[in-house]
Amino acid sequence: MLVSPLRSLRVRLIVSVVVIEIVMLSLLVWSNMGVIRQAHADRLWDTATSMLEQIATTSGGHLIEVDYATLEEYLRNIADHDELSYLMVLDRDDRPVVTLGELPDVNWPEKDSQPLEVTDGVLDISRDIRIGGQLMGQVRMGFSLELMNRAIDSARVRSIAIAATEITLTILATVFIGVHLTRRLGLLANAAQRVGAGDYEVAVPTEVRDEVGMTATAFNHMVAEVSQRTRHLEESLARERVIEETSIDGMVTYDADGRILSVNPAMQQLFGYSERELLGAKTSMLLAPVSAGKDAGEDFSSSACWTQTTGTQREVTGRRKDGSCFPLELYIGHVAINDEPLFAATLHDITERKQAEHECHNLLEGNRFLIHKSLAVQEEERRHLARELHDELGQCMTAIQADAEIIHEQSKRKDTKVATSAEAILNVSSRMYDVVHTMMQRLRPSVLDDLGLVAALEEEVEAWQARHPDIDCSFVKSGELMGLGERVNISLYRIVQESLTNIAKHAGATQVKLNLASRQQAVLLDIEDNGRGMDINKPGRGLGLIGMRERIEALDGTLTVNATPGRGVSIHVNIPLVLETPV
Amino acid sequence: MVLWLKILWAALTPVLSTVVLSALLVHAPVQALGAEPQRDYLVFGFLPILSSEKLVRRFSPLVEYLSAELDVDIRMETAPDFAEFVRRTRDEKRYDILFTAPHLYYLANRVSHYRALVRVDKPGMKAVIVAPLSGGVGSVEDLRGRRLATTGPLALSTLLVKNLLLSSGVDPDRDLTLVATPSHNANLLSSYQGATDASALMLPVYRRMRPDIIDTMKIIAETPSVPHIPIAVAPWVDVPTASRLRATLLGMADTERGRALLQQLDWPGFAPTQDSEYDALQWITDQLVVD
Repeated sequence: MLVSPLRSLRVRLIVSVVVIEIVMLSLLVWSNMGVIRQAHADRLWDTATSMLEQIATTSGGHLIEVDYATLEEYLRNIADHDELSYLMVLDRDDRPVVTLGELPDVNWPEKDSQPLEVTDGVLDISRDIRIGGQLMGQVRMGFSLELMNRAIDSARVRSIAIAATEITLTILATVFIGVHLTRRLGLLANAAQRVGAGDYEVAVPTEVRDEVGMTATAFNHMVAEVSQRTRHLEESLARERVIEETSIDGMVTYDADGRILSVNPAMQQLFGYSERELLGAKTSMLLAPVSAGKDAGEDFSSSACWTQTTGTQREVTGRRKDGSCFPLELYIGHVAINDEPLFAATLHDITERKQAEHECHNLLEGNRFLIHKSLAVQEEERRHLARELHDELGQCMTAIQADAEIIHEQSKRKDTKVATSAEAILNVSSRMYDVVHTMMQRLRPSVLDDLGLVAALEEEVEAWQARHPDIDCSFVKSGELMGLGERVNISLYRIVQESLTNIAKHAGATQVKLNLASRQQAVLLDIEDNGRGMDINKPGRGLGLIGMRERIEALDGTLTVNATPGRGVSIHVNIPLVLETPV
Repeated sequence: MVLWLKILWAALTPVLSTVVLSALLVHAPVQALGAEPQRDYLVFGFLPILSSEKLVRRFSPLVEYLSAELDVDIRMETAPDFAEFVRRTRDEKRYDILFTAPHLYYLANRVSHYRALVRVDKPGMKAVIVAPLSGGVGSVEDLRGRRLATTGPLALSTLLVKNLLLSSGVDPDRDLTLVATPSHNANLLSSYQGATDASALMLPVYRRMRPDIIDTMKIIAETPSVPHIPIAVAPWVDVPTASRLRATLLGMADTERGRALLQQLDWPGFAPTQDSEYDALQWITDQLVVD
């Protein structure tokens, strides 16, 4: 590529250096001439004032001695100076007593104070001669400026010659260096153009270890680095391309307006659109709009959600080209490229997972129904068994006891052996009655059916307190607790029964609090102890808690267990109150 | 030896006196016949007893005082040396007012008819021989074979000391070497710095020297005293001017400025004098040889 001479770095460099050199040297010569002129003037002034001072100081003695011959001899000796034009010593009456050199033709000129201000070519100076403070005369001297001016002219010629020589040498050196530098810079420029065209095999010579050589070395390193990174980038892109093309998940990139920039093949399979149809289309067409409602989530069918909801995984509903919908798991990420946001989304078809979840849910519901049925059957069997024990075995035991009483009364005066046996039968039947009664209470406390939940719980707590006198057990109830229904009553009773059993067996508590309350369409039960607590996350807990939870969940209630080792256990039950439906 | 010298001196004195006075008298008519200087100021000539700088510093206040009191421009002058001063006094009628050594005044009076107005109101002047304390010279006799600094052959101190040496039996021209120096300062410094072994100078001048120098010196001999320095006027100075000058000098001690000047000069004042007071110095002037 040819460069215009006006834009040529070589031409501009040479011209700039030459112009700068000429300007700087001109300034230097001009400045030096000023300095030289001042230096010569100062030198002449110093010489003149020094001689004047010396003569004025030493001539006083000769004047007062009126020894003019000695004074003249003395002055001739010290006044042997090339620049001295004239020297004159006058007495107190201004009569010349010693005159040396050529006096000025005109009247005594004005006294000069600076050689550079002299206009007549002679520096005229004078000084009074005093001795002991007494005026003895005056000395007048004139110094020719010819020598000084010749020296200044000579210095000017030398400075200009030196400057001209320096300018010439600078031009030659600048041209040489400029050509040398720009030739190698041209090589660098050509190499850069080839790299720009994708030729990473280019290399520039680096033999000369100057700045350009170091730049060339850095350029070669840079080209090698760019080549290697380009190769790695291409490899990386190839790997990512393979992943995208073979992925079963849809991958899509889009801009801030939600316009699709790229898609992978899976997107075409998921939505039924061709790549051409997808590119440039809005992402919002990929999802079905969310129907309005209380539980409605973010509407990803709008473009705004596609660009505002990033970094989280969401379940949405996809919509195929044919209008059919299917569940999707959507993950959106973004990155800024040249300050412009670029979004990428991964769309995973979760149709099969949703179906599996639905089936699992149905199984769970069935299982729960069976459990409820089982519990109901169990309770019914217990109630039946208790009733049978009460009705059949109880009547029999009563009859046995009545017969044994009669036998005992009849035989205690006639046959003591019969009486003893009758008494034994009485005792055994009484003990059997107690056992049966206890079994009946365990199976189905009759008081629950007869007097309700509160009475049953009070009886249970009282019996438990009797068995465990070291534990302070309190039972507090509030609200309307009658008519909660058979299912609620038996469930709460069994939970209290199970909890007290567990406390007695495992808690080591000294205090137990039971609180039963009816609040706004719900019945609440709290059971708290101050025992050693437990780790509810520790596996291997008994089936008691599971059974309690199953009972409550069967009533659409919740059971919460708070337990911390060393700080007791608290169980909170919340059962919504609904009309009792027969099981 | 001393006796022999005295005899020799007594024999030569008339001869020398005859020679000197003949020379002076030969010139006297010339001066008497010479024209009086025509100038609108008076020249106060001072014998160069000190360097020019010191001479001006010491006596210029006195000159200014007199000039102011008399309302006459009085200018101070001196000469390169004693001989030139004597020559100018004698030949050039240069000085209207004269401050010179007593023996040279005697000569000026006799040859050029200067007349003394006053003299320094002090006892007579003495010359002394001083030597460094560490120099090994303790008496006149110790000067034999040594170097004695003087203030030139015409100086009063030189003449007085030479006379003292002769009277002590030491021939100043044979038994020791006289080294002429340009001034009293140079004279004393030469022995102080070891260039000579002793110095001959006037006692008042010696006492005005720097104390650190005097402290290292000692006086080994003193000459008889002679009348103090006079101030004289030339014969062409008119009588009224001379009278006013004399009155001003005698009255200096009566004015505050005059007293300050006298204190600076280390003089008590001036006293009236007559030419006859200096006749006693004839024996000295008889020894002078002035070209």
